[in-house]
Amino acid sequence: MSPILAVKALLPLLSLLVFSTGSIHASGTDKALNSLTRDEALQLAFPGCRIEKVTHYLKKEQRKLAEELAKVKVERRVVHAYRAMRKDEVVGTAYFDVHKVRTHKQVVMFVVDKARSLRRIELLTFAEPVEYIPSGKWYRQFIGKKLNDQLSLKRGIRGVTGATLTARATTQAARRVLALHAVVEKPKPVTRL
Amino acid sequence: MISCFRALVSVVPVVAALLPSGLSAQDTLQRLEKLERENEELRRRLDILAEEQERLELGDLVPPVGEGQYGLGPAASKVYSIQSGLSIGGYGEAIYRNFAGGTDEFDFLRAVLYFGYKFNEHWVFNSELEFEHASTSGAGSASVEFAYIDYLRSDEISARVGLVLVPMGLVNELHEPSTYLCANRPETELRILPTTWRENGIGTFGELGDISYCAYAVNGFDGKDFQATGLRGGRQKGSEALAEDFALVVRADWTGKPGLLAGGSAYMGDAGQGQSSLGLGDTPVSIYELHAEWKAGGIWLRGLGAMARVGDVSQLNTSNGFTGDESVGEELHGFYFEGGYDVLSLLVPDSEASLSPYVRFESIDTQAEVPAGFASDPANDFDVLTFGIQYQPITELVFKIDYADYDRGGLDGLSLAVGYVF
Repeated sequence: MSPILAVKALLPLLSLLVFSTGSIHASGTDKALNSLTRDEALQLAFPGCRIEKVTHYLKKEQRKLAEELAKVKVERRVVHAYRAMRKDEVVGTAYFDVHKVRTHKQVVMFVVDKARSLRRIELLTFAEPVEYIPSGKWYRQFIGKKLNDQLSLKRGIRGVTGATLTARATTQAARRVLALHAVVEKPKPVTRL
Repeated sequence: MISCFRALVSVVPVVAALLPSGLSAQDTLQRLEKLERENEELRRRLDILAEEQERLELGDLVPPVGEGQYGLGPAASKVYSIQSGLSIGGYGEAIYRNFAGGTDEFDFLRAVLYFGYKFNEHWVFNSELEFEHASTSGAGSASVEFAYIDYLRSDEISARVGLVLVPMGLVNELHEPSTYLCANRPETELRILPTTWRENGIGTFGELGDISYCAYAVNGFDGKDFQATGLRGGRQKGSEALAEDFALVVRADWTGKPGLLAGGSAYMGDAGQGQSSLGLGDTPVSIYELHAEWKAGGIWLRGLGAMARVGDVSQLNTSNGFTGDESVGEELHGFYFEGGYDVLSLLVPDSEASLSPYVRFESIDTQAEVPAGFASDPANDFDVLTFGIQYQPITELVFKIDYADYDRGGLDGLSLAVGYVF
């Protein structure tokens, strides 16, 4: 096959590349080739909601408790939570977890619902080559997961060959966020009448 | 707010006790107001520090200075949010082989460095530099295994140009030792899909729903270097590659179910490279393969089947002076299945470590068909059963020990391997 013939055979695809109008931003839980900002991600997750930012300053014991619950490292003692309010009701809380994958940091937004399970996961920043990003389908495994033994690459989260380090870092981040949420958003004690 | 008020109330008696007895109620009130103002200022500063801390973590994702939201103060600087575009990684493996009836060897097989650079959100460079067999003064070599520029258009379609890994099989694009079972790569992915197979080319890739795809035009094999044992010698590796003949290679994978990968690829192109003066014809080559992988809990299963057809083999044999059973195969085929189970997923599910016994069965024939007047060497039609165990104390490190049993065509032997990836 001559070089010209080979490139001609690719022409339909190359034309799509030039003329397609596809967005370069992530949507939903698709791969993120490019960054969403914090506020764009919050808008995506909570359209029409009022966002209240709450900063929690953890005591040493709280950080330790979060680490015990998460069973992964929790180093932060300042936790930023973004509560989405519809009227006066909290519809979900978003957290941004920053962690390193290979050389660069990955930023993932996790949304925790009132049942303390993950409602949405959004990859905001990934600076490594795209080969190391798992598919959107892979990220969607986290939806509905709670902080228990199933939230593990050895149990309820399936691994992905070739993006092992990303998969591990993301799973650990999900555990960390749910543990921090459990610590800072303790259920209100029930008052006995 | 309530907690602040409570704090103030608790402070009042203390402050009052410290006040000189002659102070009036008015003075006390003024002092309280002053304390309240100071408290408010401290809260404001704390909010700014918290915002700064978040900005340090998130970098560019936080709105720039002057666009602070949620009632927070502007940041002093955003210079620290600028990210380096350089990305570094690598992997390596060493292997000790104790052959039954052969000379044992201990080889630092590969030391590899990845360098990538993100110019901006659209343009990315990525490369792999490999040192094989430790030293060029021995049996070693230094190679660029891939070096390409990506244009990231969208998730659906992007483009790649440069020295690329030919997108076929399970191992060629993902060849770090932690990404496959067994100490050695499968024979099928050495002889029919000749890993690590890289050529200069251009193409597109992307994801359409649950299907990822890529389509490249790459320079073809140099058929002159095909052997009876397979196509491996025909790789041109991007080094002053003969480019009279190109090939098309397409691949599609379905990842609709997490943990499952199923796909296939096809390669079509000539390998004559205009060497008719040496007696070569067009030497058309076509390769097809199907593969699947399943990972769930502690289970890891993989399988691949590949078939290749080569044309104008008679001319190729004549040109190379091959006779009898030395012929290059007109048809080559092979398949393998391998499976492992991480027993620690049962025993210590919280552990990052894994301990996986595994087994691989493989069957390959690189001379399934040869031209009339030539014969097949039985040594090129063989089965291999490999069984062993791998231990990963952390995800980035793997230790493997296994035993390979060939029915013919290879040396049985014990292999011990260590690999790393970062």
